[in-house]
Amino acid sequence: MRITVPVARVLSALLTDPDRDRYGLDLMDATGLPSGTLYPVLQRLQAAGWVAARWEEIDPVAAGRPARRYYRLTGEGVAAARQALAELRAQTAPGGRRRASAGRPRPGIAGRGVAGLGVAGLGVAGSGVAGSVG
Amino acid sequence: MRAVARVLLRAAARRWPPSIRDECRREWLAELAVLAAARRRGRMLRFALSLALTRPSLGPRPVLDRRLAYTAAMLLAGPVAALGLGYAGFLLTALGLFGLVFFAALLAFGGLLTAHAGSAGVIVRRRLAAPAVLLPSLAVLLYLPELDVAGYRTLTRPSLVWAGVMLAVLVAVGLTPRPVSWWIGYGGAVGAAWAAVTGAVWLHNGAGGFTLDDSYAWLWFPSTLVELSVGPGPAGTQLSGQFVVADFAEIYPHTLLALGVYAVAYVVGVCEHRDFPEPVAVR
Repeated sequence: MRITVPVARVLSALLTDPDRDRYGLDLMDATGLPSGTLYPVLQRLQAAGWVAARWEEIDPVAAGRPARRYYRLTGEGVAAARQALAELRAQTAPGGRRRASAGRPRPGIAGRGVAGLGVAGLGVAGSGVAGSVG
Repeated sequence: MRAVARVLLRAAARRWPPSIRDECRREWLAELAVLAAARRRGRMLRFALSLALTRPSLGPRPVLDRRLAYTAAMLLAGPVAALGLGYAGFLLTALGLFGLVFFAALLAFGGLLTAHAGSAGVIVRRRLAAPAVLLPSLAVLLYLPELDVAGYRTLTRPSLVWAGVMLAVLVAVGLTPRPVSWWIGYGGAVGAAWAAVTGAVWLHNGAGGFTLDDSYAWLWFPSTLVELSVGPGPAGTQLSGQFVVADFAEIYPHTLLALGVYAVAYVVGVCEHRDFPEPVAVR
């Protein structure tokens, strides 16, 4: 699984509460990613077995809206995501394999909640941050 | 706004793998319904636009992409190769070498194309093969300024005549088994080129300062190919008393012949390989 910045953001959002079901718009708000980026990432994570998806069980007529699709990290996904983000943090930290100051600042990322999860290095690493885990 | 977003989502879904396409669209429509209920029109549009404009990278590209690229390359490179062959044929003839070399090269060119045209392409129907192979060729004929018949540079009508005759020939080629298709194809290619060159001489309007004798128009094509310069020349010039055409016809006849052979060989090749397996993913 290639850990790009969008993948890291999605993993971070899902890791905030691994037992909570998340849906597309919710994850878009949490990560700041557009739909065209988020859904392919979710699909890749599902294909890797890190994320499981299920349809919401509601009566669309009673709810007044169609059933949503929920996403949640699998047991394997929780462990893998934590490891991947930890490795990414190590790479992007000062003195790490990739220096954080090497990339162009991306002020938007830190404000989206990634920094709060201990992946603050992403905030200044730029889009070149990527690694392979799992 | 919601209708526009739905159209965009339908277009976006087509770019996803068929196995998950319906599920993706259902999911996106559910999110769209939530945004519509909240009257968030701008976000609805952004949501749909982002999906419609992004190419999902979900793994290896299917073989179809390679075949599509191969087909496009064949269709674009073919007329260029034919043009080069036509020019070489013109030079050979002008240098006094017998045109047999040119004809041998044409046959080799045709054989090579037949072997490769359909083997990795995506055009699997002869109905599509004929227009697909003729359109780039026609573009070459209409837009290449070096093509010339006695100073007559407006070859639009003769070239359209060539394309019309070739279309009929290629349809017949597609409907006929080998080896009859070869005879029909190559005979038709010669006939189409002959008709176009004859038409070009007929339509010559005195450009270049001389008038061509229409009664000899039909002889221009064979005379150019075999360098036979006999008969009366253009009226009002010092060439009267001779039938000199090769110096005026330039590369138009040779190019038409090469393009015709290319088109016939391509269609024969496609028709022989029209039973393709379904595209599969490659690693």
